[in-house]
Amino acid sequence: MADLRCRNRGQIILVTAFALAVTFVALALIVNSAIFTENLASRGEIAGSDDALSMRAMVENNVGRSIETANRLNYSGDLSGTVEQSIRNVSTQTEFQQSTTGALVNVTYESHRDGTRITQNSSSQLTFEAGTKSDYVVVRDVSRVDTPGGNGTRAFRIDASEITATDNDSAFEVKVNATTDPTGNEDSWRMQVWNSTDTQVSIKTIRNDSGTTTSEQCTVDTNSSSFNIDVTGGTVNGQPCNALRTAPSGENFRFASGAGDSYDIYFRNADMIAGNFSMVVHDDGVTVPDTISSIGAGNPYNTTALYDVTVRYTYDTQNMGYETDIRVAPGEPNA
Amino acid sequence: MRRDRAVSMSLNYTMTLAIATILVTGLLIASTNFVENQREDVIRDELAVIGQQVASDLARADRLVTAADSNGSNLTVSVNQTFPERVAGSTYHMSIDSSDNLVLTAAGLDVRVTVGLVVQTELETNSSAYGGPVRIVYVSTGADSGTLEVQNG
Repeated sequence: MADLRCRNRGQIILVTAFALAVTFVALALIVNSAIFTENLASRGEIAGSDDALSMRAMVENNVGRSIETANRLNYSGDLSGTVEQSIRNVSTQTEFQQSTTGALVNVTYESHRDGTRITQNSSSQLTFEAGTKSDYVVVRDVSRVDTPGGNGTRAFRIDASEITATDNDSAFEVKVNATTDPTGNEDSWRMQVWNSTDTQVSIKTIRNDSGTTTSEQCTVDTNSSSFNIDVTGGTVNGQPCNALRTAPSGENFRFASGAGDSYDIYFRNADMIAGNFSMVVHDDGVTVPDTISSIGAGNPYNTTALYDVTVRYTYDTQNMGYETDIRVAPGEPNA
Repeated sequence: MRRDRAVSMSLNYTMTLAIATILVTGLLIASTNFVENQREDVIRDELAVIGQQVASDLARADRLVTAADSNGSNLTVSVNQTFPERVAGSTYHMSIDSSDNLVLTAAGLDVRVTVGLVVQTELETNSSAYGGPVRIVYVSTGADSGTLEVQNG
């Protein structure tokens, strides 16, 4: 007979209640985990990872400037020593500044490649030998830093105050020939510059790749009377020119593309253009004609220069480490 | 006439207990299942989130490797991040498989999450790490080449 006066009743219900309570506690832990997942999902980028790349760009810029300045002003002294000292200065200052944001930056000079700078700054016709020669060799045996596809010339800029030719028959021409075939036209890259109207400059590039010829032309409108042609950079007065870059067809017309692993540079019809120019070529045994040697003669002259500098770049933060070489060659045509 | 003829008290009692037990057991089984399912869902979601975080770390390391001018033994890249050691009470494990996917598995349960990876640098297949601090490292495999690996540490 059931004892209805007893207070111990409903045992099964009690046991069930306890078991359900434990289940709910486990559910609470799971809900906690779900909330933490949402917090985890809202975490953003690790601090410093994109700074590493923007700082790298800045370092490249700084070292590029010091190379250009050293080439222009200190060519008779210890070029690489000067640039090394300048890199040390920049590194110390950057390290000091970045350490306040928790990053460790270091830039150290590693190596360099010699070059030769050929330039004219007398604002006259680009001829030499007092105006008698308008077709001449500028430099021979320029070797690319990396074969295939590397560059051998950088920062080739022409500041033309006057362009006389009005069509491309007699226009000023820069011809780049493979050293293995100096007289022929195979494996060559040619650029012609003329003034189609008073306010327009036309540039035509002809590329001969083992017999197959392709060409590209661009016309740039400008309302100034002088023209700044960045041959390796591919712009005229700051505006892009397809004849000096990758054309819309996909063909590469950058300076000296297709002209072999080692090449010579010629000027033709140099009396059809007047102004200044400058270029730096990789010097691994180049030959500069005798008449372009001495500085101060007023005509194109050459000086020793640095072609490129490789630095070791380190960027460390609490959550990231990055250490790599950076090769700096300001003004090289982008491959 | 009494109303409780042919009624045995013990049978009454037994039947009540039996029915109550059956109902209660059913309730307990249902709630346990419910909690298990919720746990599995939460683990799957959390592994997906962790997988995406590791994938973005891999993409970051890949960007640093592609932007570098040197490679192989001349290049050092490492990216660290700390993740929870357990998800909803279960430990987990991540690895890179041969079709460039990141696979995360929870120990003890049949939960497996795959995250696709798109990187330009080669990935070290079968490199793996447990939950906790995870490190993505560029390991050189020769003078000029290297792979990205997932490691603990």
